[in-house]
Amino acid sequence: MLAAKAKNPNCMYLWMDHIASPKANAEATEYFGEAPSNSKACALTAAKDHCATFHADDEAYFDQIAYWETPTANCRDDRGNVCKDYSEWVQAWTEIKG
Amino acid sequence: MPAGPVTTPPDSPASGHPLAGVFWRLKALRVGTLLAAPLGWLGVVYLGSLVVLLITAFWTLDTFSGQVVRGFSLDNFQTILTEPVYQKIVLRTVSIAALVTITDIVLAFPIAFFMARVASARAKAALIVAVLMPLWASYLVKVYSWRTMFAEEGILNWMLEPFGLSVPDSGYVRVWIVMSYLWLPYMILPLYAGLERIPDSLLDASGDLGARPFKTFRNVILPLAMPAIAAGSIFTFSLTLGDYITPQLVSSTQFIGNVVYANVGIANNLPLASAFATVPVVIMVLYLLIVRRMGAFEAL
Amino acid sequence: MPITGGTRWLLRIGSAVTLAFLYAPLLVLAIYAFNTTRVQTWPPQGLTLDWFDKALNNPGVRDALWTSLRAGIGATAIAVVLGTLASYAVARFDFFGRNTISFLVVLPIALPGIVTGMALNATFTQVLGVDLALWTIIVGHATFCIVVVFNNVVARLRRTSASLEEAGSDLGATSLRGFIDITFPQMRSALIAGALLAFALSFDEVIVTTFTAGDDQTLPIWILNNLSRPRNLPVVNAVAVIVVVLSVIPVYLAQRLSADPVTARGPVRDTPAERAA
Repeated sequence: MLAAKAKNPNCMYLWMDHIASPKANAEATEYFGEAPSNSKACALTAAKDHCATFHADDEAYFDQIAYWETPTANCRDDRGNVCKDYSEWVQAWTEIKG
Repeated sequence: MPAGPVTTPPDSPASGHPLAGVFWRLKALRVGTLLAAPLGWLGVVYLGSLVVLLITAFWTLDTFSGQVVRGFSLDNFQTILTEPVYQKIVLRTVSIAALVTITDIVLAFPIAFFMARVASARAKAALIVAVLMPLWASYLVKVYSWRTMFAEEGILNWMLEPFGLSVPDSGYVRVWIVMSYLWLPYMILPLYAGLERIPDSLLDASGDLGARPFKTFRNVILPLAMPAIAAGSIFTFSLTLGDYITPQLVSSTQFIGNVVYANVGIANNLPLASAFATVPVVIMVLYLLIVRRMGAFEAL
Repeated sequence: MPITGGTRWLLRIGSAVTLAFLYAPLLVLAIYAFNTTRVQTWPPQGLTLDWFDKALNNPGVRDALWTSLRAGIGATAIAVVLGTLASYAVARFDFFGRNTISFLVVLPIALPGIVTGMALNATFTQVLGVDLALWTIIVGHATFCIVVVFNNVVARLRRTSASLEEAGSDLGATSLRGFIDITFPQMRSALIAGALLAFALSFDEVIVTTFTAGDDQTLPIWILNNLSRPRNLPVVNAVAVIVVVLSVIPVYLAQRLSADPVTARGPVRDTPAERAA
């Protein structure tokens, strides 16, 4: 993500180019144990089976994953604004944990 | 001795500084000048902030926009007073604070008594330093160290395994152990000071009157040590009451601090967090008033 | 009431057990900091100094250390000034509301840190509308460091008599000169002890700092952020040992300086033994 009011946007773009490049992406994702986002990174990981371990090329695997979206009152579909926002989720979680 | 002007009134400073006379006569002015900055800081910066916190407790959160609405509403207080989970959490936190306090009193007494009445002067000085050092070792580091010790592959399991035991699973027990550990020096030092102040003559008199050691302990030592115990308990109680880092690092149980912290973060529900945060403040103020009567402030 | 030999031995053993309890976690941590492997199993497989080297060369650690030092010095400076003023007023004058001052000074430390942190955060962000920065950290720390200096200096002033200052003003000194030449030398070591303790307190503090720090990281905050990164834990261990050593040294010095046994938030009151000495 790039901040909308970043002081040095050009510098930030250069950084983003760098961190998304195959070599940097390979190093970062291998350190943290994640699937690389740049497919060319798979050839550059130190552990040759890194991408396979983390299902980097497995589209079917990733179709099963539902991605987190910060809950807002706006349901983002035709229900309108009747959903619970994050603060209410926190309260509900407090009550469930007890 | 430099002689002042003949016309100087007897109760004024002999110096010739123009304002000196004013300052000498008006004690209030001197006290006021001295106290202006510290009271200004504590009054304005600190108390003012507490008042701001109290005010935010009456605000609400607009769930549609996620923004804080600066109105006046008792919703938050209603939530925390009616929802049973909040009462449960307050009860849990207060009970563990009390348990930790009692545990620390029991653990502190032997060493405090030893330091106060049995140890030689050199041993006493060495022991004070020995108790002081862990106190000032970083709080976070100590909690982290306990977390490492509680781990499955950690030292405690390694020590207990031959006996067929293992590290307690219960978050409540773990928090109790760690907090008793963390605040123990806060109890040892005032208790040591208090016990040292008990004159030997009282203990001798008690023995002369026929009291056995335990009776002397119960009827003479304990009451005289009460202010010191109360002083130490201020820290063990208050530090337990608001802590969220220890429960977070060594357990998954919720205490007052955890709920407040959870609501302040991404949830951005500052009003609810502030409302719940007033509970430990009220408890502590009441507690401070009680222990002040017991003479705790002099024993600090 | 004579303390029997048996009781003495019980007390000795009890004290030893308590001391072992107090030091064990710190020793365990120190051992882990030399561990060769990244995994925190016990017993450690080997010993190495690598992690200390990595810690000291880690830019995040160095920035955090620098921030902690600046915050500590700033907070201590403010606390020393305000604490001395308040303690001089309380120890040398009798006025209406004197007891309330003691109550007020203790309050920042007696109330839970999360309350102080949130209160300051709310004031900075909601009321004043400022960004959280190094100065907001310093304000937070100074507020609870005042009591440490206050307790130390008040106790020292109570043990020294005011008659020297009165003699000074009889000899023509203004209040200010009297303070500089007479009072200050008497309380100087207590003041330094209080300052050292205030620094140690600020260096170690994490809860209030979490709420008053913006992008800046103090060393405890750095540790907190890295606790959730398992691969970084060995470096965290080394940093933790460094933090402990850096906190403990000022306190040890304070203890030697003040010559009063220094308690958590203030020195021990007069004892009959000390008065007789």
